[in-house]
Amino acid sequence: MRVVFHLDMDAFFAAVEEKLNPRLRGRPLLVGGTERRGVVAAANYPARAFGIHAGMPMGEARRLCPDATFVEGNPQKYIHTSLQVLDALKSFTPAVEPFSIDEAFLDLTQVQWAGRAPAGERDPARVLDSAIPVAHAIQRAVLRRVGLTATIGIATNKYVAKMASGVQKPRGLTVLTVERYRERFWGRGVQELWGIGEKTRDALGKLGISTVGQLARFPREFLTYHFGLNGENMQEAAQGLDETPVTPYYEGIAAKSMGHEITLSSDVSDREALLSELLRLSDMVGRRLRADHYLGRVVSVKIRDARFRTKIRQRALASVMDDEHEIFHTASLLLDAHWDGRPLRLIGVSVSGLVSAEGYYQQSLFGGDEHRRRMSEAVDSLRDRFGEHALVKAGVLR
Amino acid sequence: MVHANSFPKPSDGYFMIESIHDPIEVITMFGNGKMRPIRFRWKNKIVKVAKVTGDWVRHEGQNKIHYFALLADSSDYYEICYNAKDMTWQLTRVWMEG
Repeated sequence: MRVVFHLDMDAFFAAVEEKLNPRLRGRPLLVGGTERRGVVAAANYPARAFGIHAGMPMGEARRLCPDATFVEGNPQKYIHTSLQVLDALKSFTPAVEPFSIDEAFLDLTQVQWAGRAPAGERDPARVLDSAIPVAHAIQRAVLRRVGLTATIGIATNKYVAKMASGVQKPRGLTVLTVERYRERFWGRGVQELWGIGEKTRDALGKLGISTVGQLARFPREFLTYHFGLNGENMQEAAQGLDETPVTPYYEGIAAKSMGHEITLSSDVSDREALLSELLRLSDMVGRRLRADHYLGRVVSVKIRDARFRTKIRQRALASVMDDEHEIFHTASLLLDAHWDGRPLRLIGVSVSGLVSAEGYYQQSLFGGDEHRRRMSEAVDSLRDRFGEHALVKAGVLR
Repeated sequence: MVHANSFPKPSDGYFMIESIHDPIEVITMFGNGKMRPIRFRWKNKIVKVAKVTGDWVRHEGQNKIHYFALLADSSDYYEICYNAKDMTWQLTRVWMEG
């Protein structure tokens, strides 16, 4: 029987800003983009009382709370603090899986602590309840280390632990066995499940499924028919079942795709301007692929127009690559083939079908592209030394 | 450069100015492998640091930019940064009581 924690820092970005500038405490605070299409990245609890939440357009947030204080987000601050939190967690168990900048899973199955339920204990409630003092100790350790509060969910698997941490915040601590999870959530709407949004909720609604309990008991074959593998995953989530391991930070997780997208500051219908953005994004994707030693075979382009209609189109290449020129060439063909000319608010590029580059490099499969590869690597070296803006492709400068 | 168009309006007598990159002169203490700003001059204003509330690093290639969050004697809040390559200081953010 596993003992899994999900740790979630409370209103993280806002809390970091409040800690650095104590004058911000107690007043509604929003962290995010302050430009025209900026969104709220985080709101502290006084701001949330006005109905403001992460992801809300900043303009809407300002209407709800005109007296809120606005702070432009600063990723380096939050990353620095996040790494300190991670360091504090590692002193409790090496099995720490950073899930996001402000969340982590911990596996304490192999850890011994005073008061832990005996090894042969079969009652999950007793096993998990005996972990409560450890959770409190982690909360105190994080508070001492970074001066911020955290909420923890305790369960026998990752999914239920994450659902548990959402039950009571801030400074919350919730234990959920699978049985308690079902008692709490089976009567609730499916959109309360982590991973199910509005579109999936509506799709499930067409099958007559509106509650978590209905999803848990629905004939699996029908779910698979309508949603494929995702149908199975959704049902297991509804049942509180999850076998996925906590992958420790030092093992890493193989990437499935790498991409970059950008919300444009204003809607763009100029093809050259869009190609310029595609070039810049392709350059970023190529650099990341090489930095992490991946090659990919499928190039995708994502576009979203002013009415939020989104298209994602992809093309598989004959062989794997990590070259930004090839990424850009394919991406531009996809754009020309699928863009109807309407102004776009978002554009993105990604590469999937990833494989490790290690074996490929040694086989020198690049042939005539060897020169281009060396150029890309030389540019990478210069950027490693002098920063990302040391060299910029001419086509990006418009 | 101050990006005035993106600023929120003053409220409750407080305001935040973003994206200042004014050069400043800083008196700093070095010790135990760390640096700690003590006082700095911004234009003609001398600011005494009452407390360093946080610090972080941004990497630009191999260069490091060291950031410090400070509370002044006056309770005003500042963020300043030190560019190790250029050995220059800049004021990046200010929060003042209006």
